[in-house]
Parts: sequence; C-alpha cells; structure tokens
Amino acid sequence: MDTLVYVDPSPRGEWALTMAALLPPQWRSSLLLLATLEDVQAHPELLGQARARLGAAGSIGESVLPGPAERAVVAATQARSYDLLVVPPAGRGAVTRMLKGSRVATVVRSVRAPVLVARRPPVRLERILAAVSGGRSTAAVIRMARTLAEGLAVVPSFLPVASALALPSPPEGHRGEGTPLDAVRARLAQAGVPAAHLLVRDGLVMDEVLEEFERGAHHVLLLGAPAEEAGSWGREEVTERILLRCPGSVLIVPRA
Amino acid sequence: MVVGLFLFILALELLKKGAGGIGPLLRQVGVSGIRGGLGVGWLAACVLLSGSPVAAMALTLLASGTLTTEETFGMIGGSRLGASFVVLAIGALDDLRAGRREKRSAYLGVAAFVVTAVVYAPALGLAWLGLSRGLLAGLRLEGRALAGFFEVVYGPLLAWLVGRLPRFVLFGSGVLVLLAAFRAFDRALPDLERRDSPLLDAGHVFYRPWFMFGIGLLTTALTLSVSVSLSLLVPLAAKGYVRRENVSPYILGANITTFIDTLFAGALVGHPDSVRVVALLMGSVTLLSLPIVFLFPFAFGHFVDRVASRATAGPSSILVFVGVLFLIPLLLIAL
Repeated sequence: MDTLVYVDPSPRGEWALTMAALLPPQWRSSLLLLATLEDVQAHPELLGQARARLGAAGSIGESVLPGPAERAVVAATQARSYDLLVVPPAGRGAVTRMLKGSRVATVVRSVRAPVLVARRPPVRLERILAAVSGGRSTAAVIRMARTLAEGLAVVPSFLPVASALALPSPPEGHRGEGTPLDAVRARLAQAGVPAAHLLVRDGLVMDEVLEEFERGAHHVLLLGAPAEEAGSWGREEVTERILLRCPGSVLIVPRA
Repeated sequence: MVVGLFLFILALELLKKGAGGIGPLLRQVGVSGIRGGLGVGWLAACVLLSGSPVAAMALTLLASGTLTTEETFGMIGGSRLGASFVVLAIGALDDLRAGRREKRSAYLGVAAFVVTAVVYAPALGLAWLGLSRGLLAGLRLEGRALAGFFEVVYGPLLAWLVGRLPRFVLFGSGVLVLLAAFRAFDRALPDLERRDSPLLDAGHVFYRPWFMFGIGLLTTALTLSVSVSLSLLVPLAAKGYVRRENVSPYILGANITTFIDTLFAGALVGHPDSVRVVALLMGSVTLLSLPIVFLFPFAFGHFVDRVASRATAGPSSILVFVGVLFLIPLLLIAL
C-alpha cells in the first residue's frame, strides 16, 4: 500500500507521524514523507527525524515541494496516486479558517484518495467508528473500516444517525420504507458485518457522531468524502463540519 | 385568494363591531395588563389552533377600545407562543393512535414552541421597551384610505347584522369568518404533497441555516400562518429532503413573516398604535433571530433538539410538556 505522510514541523506534525506508525504494517509498506520547501529550509533535519520516527516501516521515500501545505499535498497526489494520505490538522482558528479556508478540507475536496487527518493519537489504535449514511459513500466506508480493522485485529463499529423528522401521518408512499437506515443495514449485510456491530442513534447527525465518538472513546472516525453537490448554493456538507470538530483522528473515504 | 381576502376583511369588521360585547367577559376572567393579554392570546391560539386569527382579533379589540395598547401587545405576543400547539397536538394524537414508542411526531410541535419561546421572550421585552419609549410613534399604514370602499362593499351587510345580532354573537361570527378566511388562503396555495420536490437528495448533505431561514420566511409570507407553513414540512420531511438540522432556522424564519397578515390587519383597523405594535414585535423578533441564524445556528439547533427529544421521550413527558404549555398562560392570567 502506498501511503503519503505530510511532515509538519509544528507539534501537530508529530500526530501525523505517530498515527502513521500505528497503522497496520501492510499500510506502511511503502511510505512517502512529504514536506514543503519552506519548512525544509527552516528545519533541514525535518525529514531525517521523521524517517527515524518511522524507521521500522517498509520502504520510505522523501519528497519536497513548494508550499503552502495543501498545494504541496495536492501536487504530490497529481504526480502519483496514493492509497492513503496522512496529514495533521493545520490548527487554524475559526477566524483564520474563515479568511484562508480550512487546509484539511481543501485537501479532502481536491484528492481522490482516502485522507487520514491525525489528531491526538492513542498508544494503540483499537477503537474504530465508521459513520455511515446509507448514501453513495457507504459501501466504500464499510470496506475501508473492515480493511483497517482486520489489519489491526480489532472489531469496528458502524454508526448510522437517523436525523429524519418523525411526522404525523406522512403522505402515502412515504411511510418509512427505504429509509437511509434500511440502506445501511442492507450494505452491512452485503459486506457480512454482524448486526451487533451496528450502533443506531437518533438526532442531529453532527452531534450524534461526535457524541458517540467521545462516549465510546474511539481512536479513529471514518466518514464518507463530501458529496459532489456539497457546498453548492444553499447546501452544506456534514463531513467537513465533523472533520473540523472531531477531537480525534478522522479518516475520510472517497466514493468507490 | 380573493375569497380569502374578502372574508378576512369582513371578519375584521365583524370583530370590531362585536368587540364591545366581549369586553366584560375579558375583564371577568381577569385580562388586565401585558401579562393578562399574553395569557389570553396564548390560550386562545391553543384553542383556535392558530395564532394569526387571535392576533387579528387583538387588533380589532384595540381599535374598539376594549383592550389597551399594552394588553393588545401581550395578546399578539401570546398568540405566537400558542400557535405551535396545533402541530404538537396533531403529532401527539398521531403518536397515541399509532402507539409509537420512538420517533415521535410531537417532536416538531415541541421544537416549534421552544424556538418561538426562546426568541419571543426577549423579543417581547425589547419590543415593549421600544413601545414605551415611543419608538416608531409616527408609523402609519394608511389602510383606512380604503374605508370608503369597504363601506360600499361591506356596509349594507354589516348594518343588517348589527341591527339583528347581539354584539357577542357578532364577535363569535367574526372569529368563525376569520378562520374561514385562513382556510380559504390555505386552499389557494399549491398542494406540495402531490408534487415531487425539486429539492435535494439526502445523505450527509443538508441545507445551510440561512437557506432554510429564507425558505421559512418565504413560505410563511405566502401561507400567512406558522401552523400551515410547518405542516408544509410534512411532505418534504417524509421524502427525506428536510431533516432535524433544518427545523430551527425554518421556524425562526416563519416566526417573522407570520406577522405580515397581522400588519395588514393593523393597517385596516385604523388605531394609531396598531401597526406600530406589530412592527415593533416583528422588528425585535428579526433582530434576535438573525444572530442565531448567522452566528450560532448549530449550537441553537443542538439545544432545541435536546429539549424536543427529551420532551417527546415518552407519553408522560409529552403530557407534562402540554400541561406546562397550558399552565403558564393560566398563571399569567391569574397573577
């Protein structure tokens, strides 16, 4: 598996290296350490130290590209395809994010590979939560969660959130058949996931996902990549909001 | 729509002519001051299952001198708080009928009440401050310029009715005609339940708060009633187009433009304070709703969802909520 790890000299950069080191061995079989030219000029030992941190991994390459960070990551993925990108959050505050945009959100929107945004890594990666909507990215999220869990020899949990409004006497033909929850159940059954691994919550999607993540002391949250229609006029994508507010690591999975 | 307008104006005229007949009744039940007005408006909206007719009634009572400006102000504010009862009542009855233990239909009614209460409580204070300080004192909408026209259209009928019916019967007839007017408005609107919505596919995408706020503003401006515009959520939500995330901003928008018909009624009744009272309430509610929609919509939505989820967690919690919904206005009248 080809994995790109973005190396950042800030303390958050350490999170990305630690998370990369916690990934299953086959996910680390071919690593590329990427840094910006500006960071390497300011910290010449940056890539060497990162290589030393990941020493036990398979083959490790290095790449230096002009910044800013999001531009370097996107340029690297355009030059070659990767199976996974590991990046730290930029740590921008709300005001800076409003002015400059979110760095990780830009990367997630621009690349077609899974992106692991590393935050506060645990000692061991054991508790995996996959938020599934029943929509078009659900199959890819289930597949990724299972692959990651098998590599770590752990059991993942799957969380659909029912945020539909319960209504008095819905119109004929809309009495609950074919709900997103039914779609999730069908996808999990297709993938051979036991029903016991399904956690169903009822409420606002963002709140319920984040609460379940904290309640279950999960280490990594898997989410489907933003839909193509997200960000268009009048519409908003839950994925990016959860990504920015989640206290732990988030793995964004693109649609198949 | 023309029939609705004809009935609306007829109802206002009947209410004005008959208002003197219910003055003693209002005094007997202790309607006095802003608190009494608030309690009566609230209860009346619960009983009539709509807020707009109650607000229009309050203005006719002001024009006839039955209520003071202070009491009218309270009654209009109270009518908005009681307006969400219809959605709650329909949802709760549906839950009981279906023996539902989860995904309660009463959720929407509770959410409507909580959103309204959180905004209207401070908005009433703000509007009252403006009213007592003489803000918008010169504001007039010259609806009375149409008085001559109304005299020609309604004069003979009204004169005939006034000569034959006691005033409290006239007032009662006015209430019934007002309800018929709003029903006529509803019928004039397109039936969304039979159309495929052009809105969006579900998944993880939802509408931005300002967008739903705009939809709530527009829908209620067209339907002239919060209860009608909330019921329009039913077909959209049933298809998964509107979700819990969208409820609060929609109700915030609906709570502003629901004043449009009251503003119109204020212009028609011709009292110097009638338009001003409504404009101040509308302005205050707008002023307090905008920061919620644009600055902290998600925290507000989270709060509303938590309260509505807990209040609809079981039959007993719904009963407690409904009890409180009636107890507060009764206490306001009694105090």
